[in-house]
Amino acid sequence: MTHSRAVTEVASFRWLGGLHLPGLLGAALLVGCQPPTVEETPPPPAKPPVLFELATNTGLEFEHRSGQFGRLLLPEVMGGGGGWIDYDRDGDLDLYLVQGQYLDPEWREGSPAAGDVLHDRLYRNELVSADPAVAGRLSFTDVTSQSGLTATSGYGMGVAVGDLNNDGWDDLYVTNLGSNQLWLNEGPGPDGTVSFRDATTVTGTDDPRWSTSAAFVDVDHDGWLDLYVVNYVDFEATSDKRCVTETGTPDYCGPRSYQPVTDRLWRNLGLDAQGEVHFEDLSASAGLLEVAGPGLGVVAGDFDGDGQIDLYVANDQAQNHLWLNPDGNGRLREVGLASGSALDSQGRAQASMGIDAGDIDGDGDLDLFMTHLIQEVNTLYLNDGRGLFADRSAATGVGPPSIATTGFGTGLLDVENDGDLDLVVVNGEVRQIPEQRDAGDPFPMKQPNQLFLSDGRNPPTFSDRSQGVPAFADSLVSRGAIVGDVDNDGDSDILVTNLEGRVQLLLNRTGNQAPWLGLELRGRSGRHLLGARAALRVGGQVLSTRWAHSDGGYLTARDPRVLFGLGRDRRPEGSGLEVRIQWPSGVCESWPGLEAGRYHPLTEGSGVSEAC
Amino acid sequence: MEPGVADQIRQRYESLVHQLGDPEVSPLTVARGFGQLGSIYRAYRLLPEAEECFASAVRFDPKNARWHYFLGHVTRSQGRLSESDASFRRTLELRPEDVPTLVWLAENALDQRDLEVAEQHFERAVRLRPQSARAHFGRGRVELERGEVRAALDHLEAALALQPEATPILYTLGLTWSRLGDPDQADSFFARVPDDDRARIPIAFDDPLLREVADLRESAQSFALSAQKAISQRRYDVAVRDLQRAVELAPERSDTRYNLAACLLLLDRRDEAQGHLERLVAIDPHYVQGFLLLGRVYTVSGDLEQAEQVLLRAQELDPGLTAGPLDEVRRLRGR
Repeated sequence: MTHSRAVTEVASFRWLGGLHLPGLLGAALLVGCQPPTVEETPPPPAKPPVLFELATNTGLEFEHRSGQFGRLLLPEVMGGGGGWIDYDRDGDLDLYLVQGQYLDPEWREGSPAAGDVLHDRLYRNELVSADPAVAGRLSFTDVTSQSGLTATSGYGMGVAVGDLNNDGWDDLYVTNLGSNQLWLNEGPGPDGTVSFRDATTVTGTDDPRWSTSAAFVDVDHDGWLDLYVVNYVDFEATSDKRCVTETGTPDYCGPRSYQPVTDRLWRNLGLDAQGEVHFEDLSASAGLLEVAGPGLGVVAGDFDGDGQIDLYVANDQAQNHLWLNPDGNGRLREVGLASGSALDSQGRAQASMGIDAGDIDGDGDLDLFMTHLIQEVNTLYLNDGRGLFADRSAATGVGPPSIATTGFGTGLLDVENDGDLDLVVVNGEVRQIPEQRDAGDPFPMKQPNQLFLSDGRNPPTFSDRSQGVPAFADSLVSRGAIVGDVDNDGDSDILVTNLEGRVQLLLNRTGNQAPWLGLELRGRSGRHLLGARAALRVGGQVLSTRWAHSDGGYLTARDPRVLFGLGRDRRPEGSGLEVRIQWPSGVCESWPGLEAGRYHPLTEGSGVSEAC
Repeated sequence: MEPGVADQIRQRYESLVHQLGDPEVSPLTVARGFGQLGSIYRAYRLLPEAEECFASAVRFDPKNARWHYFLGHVTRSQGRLSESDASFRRTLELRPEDVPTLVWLAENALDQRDLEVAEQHFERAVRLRPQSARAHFGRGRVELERGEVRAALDHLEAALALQPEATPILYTLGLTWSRLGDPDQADSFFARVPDDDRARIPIAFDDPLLREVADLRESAQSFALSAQKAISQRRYDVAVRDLQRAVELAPERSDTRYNLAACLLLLDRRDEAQGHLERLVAIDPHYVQGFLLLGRVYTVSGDLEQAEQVLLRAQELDPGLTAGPLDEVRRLRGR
């Protein structure tokens, strides 16, 4: 037994529980400290579960490895991304999962898994069968080796999904601790197998620093997706900083132990004569090199309602950045502080990790939700439509339930298809939890995950419905919460990634009991038009507004399709549903008479033109 | 765990065990033993342990407001606001005019969207302590939550008059003017919000019980963290005091000793800085920044031979370093 261990045991108050000292009993009796009688009230009737865990049953056996060796290196607690991608265009969501790595070859040799090199994985969803004679079913097949995604051996963090070369096939950008990788989807080869090739060097889109989240966004409206990469801190594994808690116990360092770094923006120049996509680094002219920040999350959208797509970056323990794009050309202006979204309502920077944007209060603009550290409160910023935000965390009830947890992945989704946006928050500490550590847990940072349902008002009130997810009863060290309709049944499911643990697939079995309408918003090339704004109308009145986006969350890429829950639909009998799309190009079109209960592929240029 | 911290906890623990073993001991003494142990745990953020202790203290001495107050804080810190409310309410019954308790009750109410209760407690805090910027600021936040922006402005300006540099007040005033549609006024407040979070100045609030607990912290890391904050606020004398305590407690901490030397140099206490830097590079012969700073100190002191030696060592350790300081010393030496 080491000295420090002995100290811990002596210092633990719980040890006292085993003592039976006469004085203690005497004193207790003196003051009559029997537990007070509590009048028992019958528990409220249990509500049925809403999300069921089915990862193993569907073949998802991916297990994340942080590469930990007792050195307590910061990247070990920061990774774990992944994304939905219909890489083979068969109409169902496949899954890319980002793996960790051993941080140093020397340490690797001493590891239990010596010689192993970990790789990211691609899983094909078999829901839609290639053979019309064979019924498909929700199950996943590991197709990493046949897809060409075999050289993903960096220390992986996150992934962005989008079609960079407008060939209709979604590509991947993988962020790492160290060099990133751009994987272009080549589509089907002669044998029909869809594969990727590493185009990082040829496109010049590497960033050798510690990148976290990334977003594909057409900042200059030229019809080609540009690339925004969020960078975290200047970390060198070999520098091996040592950090301790206030009691002197060794623990993981925080971002303030390192220098923050700047983000990067690449402008997509389109294809050259050889059909290769090219980029130029726009970071300097965009103004990004003037402002460093320990960035973790990013979400793109038109936050000030001027028709241009802006970017919001969540920084860890530093003020967040709202980059407006006033001229629509990628020359950005940082206005976080003045927008009211850089700091919380008391002027404090928080440890922003996960982020999502959506119309939370139903007024047609983009609001923001962010997750933070334990003893901070998750923040919900409501937008006034002009890009001025008010911290409404307390008023909406999302703040207090987060005080005891450290939030990472998050996503806005309409769990019940009742027409409002609910919230999933997945948690896991970044510092060791003494009780778990002392109990011998090898990764002692486990916390329960949470689901909050909105009441649909403006402003909404969120109520904790975590008990509706049996899988949330098990505490894990969760990082990513990736929203997507994985079984194409018209409601949102969630894939949860866990550090040093297996992924969880939470299947929604209740949402599609309410009517719904799905949209696939594509350009003429077949590319998902990320950033498109969809308004659902009945009789000229907008019922709800959604955006096609795959960014947001924490290190993850979500389903770019748009889902409208119609549970609160008040439309007159027999009247059709109408949607109005504002495309990233600035063009507006509408589609009347859409039928509920299915996904509608809507292509830019095929609707009824409207003034924007 | 640092030995000093373990000793602190052990002493209070053993004292409690001793009291519990004494059949003559009074419940109030036992309560104090539990409370003191809980305070140490609370000081080091060991909240579940602190909660158990304070709950026991409350059982043994239910009429002592301080144990209820601490229990209110540890339950609040763990997100259990209704339990925290109950403890703070009991505190208030025992000390009806305790301003910190009123403020924390109001904060709990604000977090739980009970604006009437929050207003009532902040208002009472303002009446009892009109010089409390925190109480005025709280009243302003209640009005902002209600959407009463003009009314909020009055309270926020009252708070600012009491503490003109407090970052939360400046920031909130900026937001308030933005909402009132005056971006120039808003910018004038935003411009006074420091970029570095550690340089931001919190709202001063006299809370003797919480201060008493905070003052119990005696770990090197606690002093180092406190010094970091002081450095960000350019209070180098405070930083030196805290860093000296941290170095005493953990002499092997290179970064801490380096920061101490740097702060001493900023205060023109070069001899002391030199002593710490010499000790630093002796303890940690791979600490490049230490050699570099020591080289500068020697250069300024005119000890050019020593300066060249240590800068050469820095260059050996990190060949990527700029040769400027070394070249400068060689030039001064005429080489």
